[in-house]
Amino acid sequence: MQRKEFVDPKLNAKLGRLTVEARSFMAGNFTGRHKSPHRGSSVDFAQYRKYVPGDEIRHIDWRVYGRTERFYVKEFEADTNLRCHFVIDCSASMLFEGKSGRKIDYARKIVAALSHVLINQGDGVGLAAFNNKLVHDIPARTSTRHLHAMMEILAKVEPSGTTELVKHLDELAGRIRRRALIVVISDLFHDVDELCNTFSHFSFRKHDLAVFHVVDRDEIDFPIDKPTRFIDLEGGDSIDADPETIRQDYLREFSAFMTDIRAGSLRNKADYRLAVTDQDLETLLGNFLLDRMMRRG
Amino acid sequence: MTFLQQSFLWFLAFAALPVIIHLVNRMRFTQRKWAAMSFLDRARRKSTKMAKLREILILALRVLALLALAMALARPLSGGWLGWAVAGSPDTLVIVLDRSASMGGRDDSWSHSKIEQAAETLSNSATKLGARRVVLIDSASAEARTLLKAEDLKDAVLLGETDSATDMPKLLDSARAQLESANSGRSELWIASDLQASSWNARSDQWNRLRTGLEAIPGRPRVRLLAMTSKLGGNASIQLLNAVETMSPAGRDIELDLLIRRSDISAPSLNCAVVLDGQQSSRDIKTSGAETRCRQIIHLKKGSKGGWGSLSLPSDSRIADNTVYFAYGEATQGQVAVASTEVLSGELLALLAAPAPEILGVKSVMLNPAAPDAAMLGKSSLLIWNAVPPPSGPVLELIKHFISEGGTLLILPSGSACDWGGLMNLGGPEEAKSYRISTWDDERGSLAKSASGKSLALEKLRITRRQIPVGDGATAVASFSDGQPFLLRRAEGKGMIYAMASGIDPSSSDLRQGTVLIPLLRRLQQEGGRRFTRVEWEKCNPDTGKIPLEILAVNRESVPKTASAGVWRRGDGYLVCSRPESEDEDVALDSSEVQSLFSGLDFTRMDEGSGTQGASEEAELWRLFFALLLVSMVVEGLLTLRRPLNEKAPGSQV
Repeated sequence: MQRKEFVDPKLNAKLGRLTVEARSFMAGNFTGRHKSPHRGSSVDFAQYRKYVPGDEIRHIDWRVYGRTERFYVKEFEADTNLRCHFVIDCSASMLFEGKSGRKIDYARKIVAALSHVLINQGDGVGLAAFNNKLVHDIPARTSTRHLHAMMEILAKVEPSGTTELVKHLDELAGRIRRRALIVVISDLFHDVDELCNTFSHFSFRKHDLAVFHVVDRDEIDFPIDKPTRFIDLEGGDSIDADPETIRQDYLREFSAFMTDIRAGSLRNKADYRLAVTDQDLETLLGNFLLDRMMRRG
Repeated sequence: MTFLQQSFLWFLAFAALPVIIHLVNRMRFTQRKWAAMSFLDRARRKSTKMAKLREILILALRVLALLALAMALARPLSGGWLGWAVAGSPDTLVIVLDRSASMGGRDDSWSHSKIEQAAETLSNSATKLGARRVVLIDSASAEARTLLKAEDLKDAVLLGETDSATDMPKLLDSARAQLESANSGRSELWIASDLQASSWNARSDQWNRLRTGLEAIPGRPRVRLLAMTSKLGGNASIQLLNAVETMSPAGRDIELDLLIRRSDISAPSLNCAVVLDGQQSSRDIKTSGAETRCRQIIHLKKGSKGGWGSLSLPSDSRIADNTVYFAYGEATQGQVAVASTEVLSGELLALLAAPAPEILGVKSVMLNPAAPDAAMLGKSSLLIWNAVPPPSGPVLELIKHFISEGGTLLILPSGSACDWGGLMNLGGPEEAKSYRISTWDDERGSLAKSASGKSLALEKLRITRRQIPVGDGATAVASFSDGQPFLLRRAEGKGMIYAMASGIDPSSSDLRQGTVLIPLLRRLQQEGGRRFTRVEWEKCNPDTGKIPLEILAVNRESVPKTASAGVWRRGDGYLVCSRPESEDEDVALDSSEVQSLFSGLDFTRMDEGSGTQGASEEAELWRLFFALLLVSMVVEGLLTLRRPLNEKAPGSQV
């Protein structure tokens, strides 16, 4: 797939007025627009604390010393930049193609649009693509050149194989030590309980987890009426079925799956977003960014 | 089950279409790559049982709908005469209708006779079946008639039953000939009968030939039997066993030997209507039990040169067996001729044969055994032969002529074995000892009981010498205790030959006392005397009807002449036809016997009135199948109602 097919300048322009806000403290290397858990040199007063040997004398608040004859150090909040890791599922199931296109292409567009916003605001973006193994692992960088390189790699990602989402997410959660924004983009066809446990892993590590659940409209509505041989994208197995006879049970199962995933994500403090492939991307991402901005105040 | 439009049964094959389409559709899957396979798999596993059940149900309903449509179009008949087996309209339908006297019986309601019920059933069924050619063979005419339309069968039997017996093997053989000559694709043979054993004659060799013949017909005709075996309502029948003219001091009489059978034995007597020469009177006849044997004496007019009469029982469920007819001729009873080599014995025999010539009107004459007077013998009704040697040559021929004209010959033993030229033989004298007569027919014939019901005292006869009579086809009227015949009878021409084992010689027996011999000779004389009355007695037979006859009185005029009981004038004499005795016997073939008669053939039997549903109550079932079709389609429609594709599953939040 060509890069220009999923990088939409118009969409980038519209989203450029918005920012990606972290929902929690971030730990970056540079000064940025995101709150850091550490004290720093911003204009925002944080607290007083007792002087301990080693503190710089210039940070002692002499007025307080004049009133209390004790040494107190005045501390200010630190602002830092944000590192965002995009985790994209490139198993064969993402090749599913409905009327509005393939799921992987929709996922690419999400990554491209959010990366653009993040780089523009000085944050770093990285990419991890995996199916049953880690296909690509690009560390987070803040440069525009890095963004272009990442987009090139993203364009080359071709889904194949089966999904081992939980395994790779667990690995990733353990590997990223600093607090970061983790954006998972997948169809999440995995055991819901195991998946939610993994989400809790991210929560425990103080990461800000956002989940884009990519599904196709056909998978939700099952608009098939003729006897069909369904061929598994991930394994090649097939199921012969008359959709008329199984529709109700399929819809019930799929609906329950989505409900469980949503509830599990929220329970583990993940920012769950259902991304149906026929949904307008501007609306989806706009809502995602606005919600975060409003939460920050 | 019978189908009026059998060709539509081919449509039944279309019932396989839904199954074929289903199987073809299963093989023509559209392929689609799918990601959410685990949900599909779970959904399929969950819905498999119910879905399969539903699928099978829908398929079954579709098949049922097509079957019902084909069946409705084929117009099936159920129950009754036609609803027995799968069949269609035959090209040729041959109906054999038993119109014998026993088929005239009516049921408890007395509304329809068996023959009318059978005709109604067969006519309706044949009309429904729409056979191209219907041939009727009834026992009245025994001839095959092609009916213009099946309804004509009812008109054919308006003529009613006959008084004759039915020769069922012969009728069926005619039917077989018809089926053979028709040479059509599909044919059926329908039989309606009360299965009377005497009519069906199950032991006849004809049945084997008949079966073989029917099996050889191309297409093997289906044989259907409508058995009219239902019990009759209350009935009494009367049979005339014998009628003899007698002379009495009061004048001339005719003595009727009657047998009355009845199902209701409560009444002590039956009031009978007597018609004599057109004048009607009535008389009560005393009865006892189910069978009563009685003699009725009808006084004839003096000087009458002949006439006829009838005696009828009150009307009941079977009218045909209520009347007997009789006739009498001019009072010329003839004489008794005695041929004896011993004068004394001859004179004694002449005396015993005609004890009161003035009163009884019978006289006796002596004949020369060596050269009998032909003219004198011609006027005789009974010839008593008590001479040796037996006749031969012209004398034997003369006697044979006398017998063939209706005369009666009584041969008495003469002390040595003798051969009567094949007519009868007498064995040699046996050891002299006491012989006793133990059995004789006291119901009918020459040794029957008297009018007052008293038996002849044969058991009291003292017989010491005997010569056993032997004759081809002869029957013993009386027998000794050792089984040897005492009196032997043999029919020859119109006459009768009797041979007695013992003579009137005192050293042989005490017959000369007359207690047995006088009534015996009297009856033999009466029997031989019938040839002078010019009254002929026959059993009803349709074949006799070809002779020109003038009807005097008949049971019914609608049937062929002499197939009905009655009296006809034939020339200057009379012909009296009576119903065969076998027709009054209520003995029917049992099921296994009937089955064996038609073994190897496509045979079905139905008993009229044997079940809750009569044979005539066929029901057209197309409405039922049409309703079944509609119900199947509606249920199938409900089961296949599809939910709209955009309908969300319960709980779906998208």
